[in-house]
Amino acid sequence: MQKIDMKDLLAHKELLRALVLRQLTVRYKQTSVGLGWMILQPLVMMVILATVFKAMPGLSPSGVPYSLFILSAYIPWLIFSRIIGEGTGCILSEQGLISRVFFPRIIIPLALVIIGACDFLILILFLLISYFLVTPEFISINLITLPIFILILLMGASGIVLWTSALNVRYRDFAIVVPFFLSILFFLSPIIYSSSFWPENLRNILSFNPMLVVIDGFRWALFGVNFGALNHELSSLLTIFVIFFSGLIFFKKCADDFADNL
Amino acid sequence: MGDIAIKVEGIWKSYKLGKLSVSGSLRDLAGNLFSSRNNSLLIEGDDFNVDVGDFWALSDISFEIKKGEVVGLIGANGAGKSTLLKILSRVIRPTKGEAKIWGRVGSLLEIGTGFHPELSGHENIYLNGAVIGMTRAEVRERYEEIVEFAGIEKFLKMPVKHYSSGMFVRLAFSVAINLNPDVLFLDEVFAVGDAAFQKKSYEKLNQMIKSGRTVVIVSHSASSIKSMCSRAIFLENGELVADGRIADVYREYNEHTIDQIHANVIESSIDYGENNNEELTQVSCSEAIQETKSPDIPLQKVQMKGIRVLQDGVVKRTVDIDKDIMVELEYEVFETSKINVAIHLLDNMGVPFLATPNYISACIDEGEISDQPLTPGIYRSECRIPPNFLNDNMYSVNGILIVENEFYFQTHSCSDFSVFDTGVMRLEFKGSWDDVPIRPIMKWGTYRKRSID
Repeated sequence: MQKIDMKDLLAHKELLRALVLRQLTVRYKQTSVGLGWMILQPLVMMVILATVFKAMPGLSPSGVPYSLFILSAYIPWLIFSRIIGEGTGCILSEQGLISRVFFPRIIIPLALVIIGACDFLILILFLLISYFLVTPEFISINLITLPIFILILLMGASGIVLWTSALNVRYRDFAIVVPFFLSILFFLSPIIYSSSFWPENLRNILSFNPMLVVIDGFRWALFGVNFGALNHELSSLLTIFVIFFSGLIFFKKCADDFADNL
Repeated sequence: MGDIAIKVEGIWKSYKLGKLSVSGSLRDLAGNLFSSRNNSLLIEGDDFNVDVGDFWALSDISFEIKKGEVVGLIGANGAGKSTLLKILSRVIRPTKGEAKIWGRVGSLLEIGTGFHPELSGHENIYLNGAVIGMTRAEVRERYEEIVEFAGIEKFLKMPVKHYSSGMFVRLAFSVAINLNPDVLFLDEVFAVGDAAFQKKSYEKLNQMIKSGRTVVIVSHSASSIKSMCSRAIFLENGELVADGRIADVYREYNEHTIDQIHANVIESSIDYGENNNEELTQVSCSEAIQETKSPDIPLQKVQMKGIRVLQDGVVKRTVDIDKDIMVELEYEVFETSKINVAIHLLDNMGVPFLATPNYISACIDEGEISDQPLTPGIYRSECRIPPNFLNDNMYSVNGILIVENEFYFQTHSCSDFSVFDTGVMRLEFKGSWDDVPIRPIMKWGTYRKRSID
């Protein structure tokens, strides 16, 4: 069964490429500033967040400049929330294709994650350049582990998209629930503060946040900031694995009936 | 399995009736989780609950299609044709049963699938190619052909949102038809483009058929199916009614269609109680569907009882093309008067194309009474339509009563029948003459004027 799926997927790799290309072309065709928007958004957010929260003591305990401390978490967060935000409606917005042509449905979220990864590339570049310019003293061997955390991030985001995009076909509420959920998660994730900010007992609960291990990983790779408690990081990682693999199974189960339910 | 292209075994497809299953909300999810009614959906009205069951869009469909066969899928709207094609092209899953297809499948269920309005024609050709399963290299190979076939060379760099609808559709069809799959599914895609483009499309499709592709076509146009297919499958209400030679299946199909029309006529006539006991009456024409040109003439003078179409002395809805077709009018005369009758034949669009009255000057009279006033009683007039005169198509008959050469009553599309071409008149030519109502045998002669050496 799994073999056949792979065969179908390979037979449709051209479609995957076409969908990714289509999205990228459309995005940069209509906007005149193009790439500029990509960088402007995190830059402005970083300035705002850094200005607003600088006054609060104890948010950044490790001697890292607060603006970069925020940026190192905000950029992975931006990609995470963008993939999920756009991904939830991805099956619905391709219903014209789904109800008329056969192809492995997973291509649609896959294309979306690939596009997200392309955006990520640009943002990571921006992050690294700022990092090399502002805080070269932090550069260490840790940096080579960054791709691992990028992969973990993409895995978590795709896992959630697999769930929400499939659920959104039957229950359209997800289009409303997901942005709401994301805006809460923003404050529960260690973006404007470090992961040691919350008291111990709260941290046990919040460690199921998939963004915890990603952000701590980024900060460790870039600035050598210590991870939180090992069990917290592991439960965050475990959450990502569970969401991703259960998402694959759930999506596959729903995918056969998308055309009937659209 | 060597020469089989498609094998369908006992396919069933059910849909839940009721809108809630289409797009639900979280409330339904919660409701479904905590309620015990799992199998059927509940639609809640203002003050009542209706339990909605399943609707079978397809039930127990089985057939095999050999490689190189061209099969037409016919049936009324909602018969399940498109659902079947969607299952065969794997867009939806059958509830039960399975279908196997050997070879590469191309399906064109709707024109323009996968076009993006912001992208140029050039980019859309590649995108659409990928959507229907072509590799980039394959598209490149046929690129020139696609562009030329669509005739949009000048507009390739323009976003397709600025295309005229004709250009859009031509481009989409052109990409799809140049795909060259082993098995091709086409769902109602012929009403595309102008006449010239349609002709080009037919030629291209016929080329594909000749090169041995397996094609399944859904179309309501009998002429396109008859001219391309060798076999037809007739679906009605999700069931396979007939499967076989095109002529046989169409005969069955026409009979069913005529039955349907008759059912509608009877339902829509307000009052036919009086004529209920008339055994022979094919359709009873009540006063409600009779029309009088002059309100001064009381209906009491004469009344139409019925119109029938017969062949070999039996009332028929489908008649053979190579035998006499008898149209019978039955009417009651209440008051001695001079009565003439006439019939109009109407084509399947309801356009009258033939009128024939029983005036002495206008007919070869065969009956016992002619040109005399009729005393009260029930009369029957018959008109014999010669064999090999009408085309094979659907027709209706209007009966007309003319009283004292002046006033008349007319029935409206009371009696429908279809003519079936047994093949006598189309021994050589297998194509279609769908556009004309009359196709009589005529005297022809061909002579040599001079020889050229």
